[in-house]
Amino acid sequence: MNKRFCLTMMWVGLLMCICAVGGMAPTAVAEEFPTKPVTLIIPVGAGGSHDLTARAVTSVAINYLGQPIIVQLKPGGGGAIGSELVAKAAPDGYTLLFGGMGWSSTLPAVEGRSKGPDDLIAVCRINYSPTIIVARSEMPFKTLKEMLQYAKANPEKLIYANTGPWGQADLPWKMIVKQTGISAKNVPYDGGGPALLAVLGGHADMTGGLISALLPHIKSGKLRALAVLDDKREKELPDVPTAKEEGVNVANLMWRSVLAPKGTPRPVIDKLALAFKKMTEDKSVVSMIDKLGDEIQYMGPDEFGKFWREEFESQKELGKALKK
Amino acid sequence: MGFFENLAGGFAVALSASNLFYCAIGAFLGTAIGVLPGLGPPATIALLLPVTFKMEPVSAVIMLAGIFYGAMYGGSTTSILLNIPGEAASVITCLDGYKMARKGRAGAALGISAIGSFIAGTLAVLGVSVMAPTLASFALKFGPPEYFCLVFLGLMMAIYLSEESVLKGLMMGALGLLLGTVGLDPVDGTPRFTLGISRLTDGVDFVVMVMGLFGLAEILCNLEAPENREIFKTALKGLLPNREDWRQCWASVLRGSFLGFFIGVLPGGGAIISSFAAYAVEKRLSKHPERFGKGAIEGVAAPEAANNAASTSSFIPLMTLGIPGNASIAMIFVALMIHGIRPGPLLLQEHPNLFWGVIASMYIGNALLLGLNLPLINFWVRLLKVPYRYLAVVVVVVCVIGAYSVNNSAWDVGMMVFFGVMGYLLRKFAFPLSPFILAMILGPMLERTLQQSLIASGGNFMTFLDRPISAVLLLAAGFLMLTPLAKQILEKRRLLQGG
Repeated sequence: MNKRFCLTMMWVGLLMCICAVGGMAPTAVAEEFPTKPVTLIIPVGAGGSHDLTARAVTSVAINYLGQPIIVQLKPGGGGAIGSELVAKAAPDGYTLLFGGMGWSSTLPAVEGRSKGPDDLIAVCRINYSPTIIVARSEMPFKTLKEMLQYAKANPEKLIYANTGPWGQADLPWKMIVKQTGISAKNVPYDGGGPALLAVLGGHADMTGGLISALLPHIKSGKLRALAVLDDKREKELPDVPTAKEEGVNVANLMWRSVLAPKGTPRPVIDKLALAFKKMTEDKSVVSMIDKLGDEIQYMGPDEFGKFWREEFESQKELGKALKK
Repeated sequence: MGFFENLAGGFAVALSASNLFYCAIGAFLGTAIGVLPGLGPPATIALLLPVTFKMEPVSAVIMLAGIFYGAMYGGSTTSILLNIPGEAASVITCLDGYKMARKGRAGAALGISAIGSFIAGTLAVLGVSVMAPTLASFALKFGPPEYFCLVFLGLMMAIYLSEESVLKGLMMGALGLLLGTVGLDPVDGTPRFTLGISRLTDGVDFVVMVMGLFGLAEILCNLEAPENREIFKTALKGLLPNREDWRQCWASVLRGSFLGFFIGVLPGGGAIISSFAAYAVEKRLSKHPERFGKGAIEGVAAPEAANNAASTSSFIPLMTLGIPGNASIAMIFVALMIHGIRPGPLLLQEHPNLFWGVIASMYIGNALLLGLNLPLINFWVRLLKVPYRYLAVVVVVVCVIGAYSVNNSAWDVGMMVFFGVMGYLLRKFAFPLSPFILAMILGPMLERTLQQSLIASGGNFMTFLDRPISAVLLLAAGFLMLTPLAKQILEKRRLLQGG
């Protein structure tokens, strides 16, 4: 054989190999994924419900993903810093964001800060906590409907304590006000603790918060729960109706989810989503989440992606309407 | 009375071998992170939170609480030795503590802050065990107008914190107020003065700023002069405060404890504010206010007592109302919740062992901390014998790591360097730093509470005078503002008549 021909054929063969490998690359990567530890960035501080939930779920990652998940805290800007970091990361599935309604929907929708569904894609939802609307027990109303009547009869008299602009209490209150046309004072407090203290001290009449902080005061009779902002009633408050039952179409689910940079290949997303689903079904994870006072409410990438997009668009509209 | 029975029951819980062990661990860790700048109690407690999942709830809280009040002991160490506040609440200790160290009295300064902290801590625990429920209802009386007037009164202290020129002090106070507005607007969350930088939406981080202003600036200043460490070598004898020191500052310790205890009950930065307040009160009451800022032992004793008392009394809102008053206490709240205990008004009835066990552990913890910190003084003072050219490198490294550890971000290291240069320039031109820092802490609170008061009252400014507590606080502020003026006028008049 001609030496030159051999050499040429070798070059051609090499080239074909490269092309083949190149063409196959995404599937090959997805099949192999993950070959190294995955980093999950939590964009808020340590010890919060997001941090604890993420740590509980990822504690068993190696059993279901084949690689550990390293939790990294990058707090700042109400979640914007960590979100921007992940949105800029390589879309290979090795850098993920622990998403929350505040920094993944509300901030980008209303303020144009942080990163939303335009820059990130959904992997799955882990769970959520609904906002519960409460009032001082001395107030002359016992239900959401009565509260609305009271507010209409006494405009600008009710004082509502929110937990920070666009937070868990402020956003749903603005939605309720917009939908029902009542007028009330909306006073900003620096977090759930101070807002609760203001209501207990009689400096404000109502607030909204999560069940973990409010339940002891509801049980002791100091606060009265008016409505749960969820599609279903709260397990621990079976007598409290949802806002929808009371004729106000407002839900506010403070969700916790796993998000990835836009452009992450679909097979990688599926693999991650499946691994997270199995992690959330792990007995030890379920019991840890239970101790936090929550439950697992897993939602897959398509279903949650749709939910997230709808929430984002509706908050965007609300933001436009309220910011004049 | 059931009180002694309850407390005895608490001691029975706290004195069990394992709880004693956890109390000691907490106290030790607290001291350690107090000494290290940057890494504060909230971050440490958060890191240790998963460890407590498998512990008994009482043990968990005993340990985490130990970290929190233990940090107040350690925080003064680097303030005194190196002019770097180990904790935010130890900023004010730098002023006189470091000057004392430069005069060869580091031992006395460390000693008074350890013993003062012990006295304050013990008094505060006593206060908590006797009148926690009463104080909780006191905290509930504070609405936005009361807070506003309290903060306004606090700002008046800036006058007393000015070292030489009151004008310069006020200028720095104004600068601090301005810097405090960087970040998100408290009412509708609009970013202000952030220059489009996401990092600045949280405002300027206090710990990072203080490390630069004090620690790094100190190094820069010392670089100018050749080694002048003789002062440290001369008088290391007085390792503990002597009789003369005690005569000067026993009352300051008591006043600081008292002030810290009551300010600490109010949620939101009690320990920092109370330390500033205690310092200002001492300077105001002193017959020789000119000694302050030059190594007055009262200027160390009072704020250190105050921050300790405040850290103890800040447990009251958690234990009686179920409301965490600061970030560290919020972590302890989470630790309890994970054990299925929801802190709230019913905690005392539902879990008396937990409540009294933790209280009893605080008596023990304070004694342990004193036992731990007094022998350490000798070691710390020896550290000062290390030549400054080596020590300076260590200080810079500690500052850089400390700044990075606040948010895991290099941005904060840059901020620290920026404030280091700023602190250096300010010192060169003899601008006092403490009014600046005070205004920076109080400014955002002042704005928030003003907005809250006015939104709730429908824009009516009379809300501040209609309410008795706020009216009294406002009058006190007015009095503080006018007395130096009146004094000046009277003095001028006397001079004129005399001349």
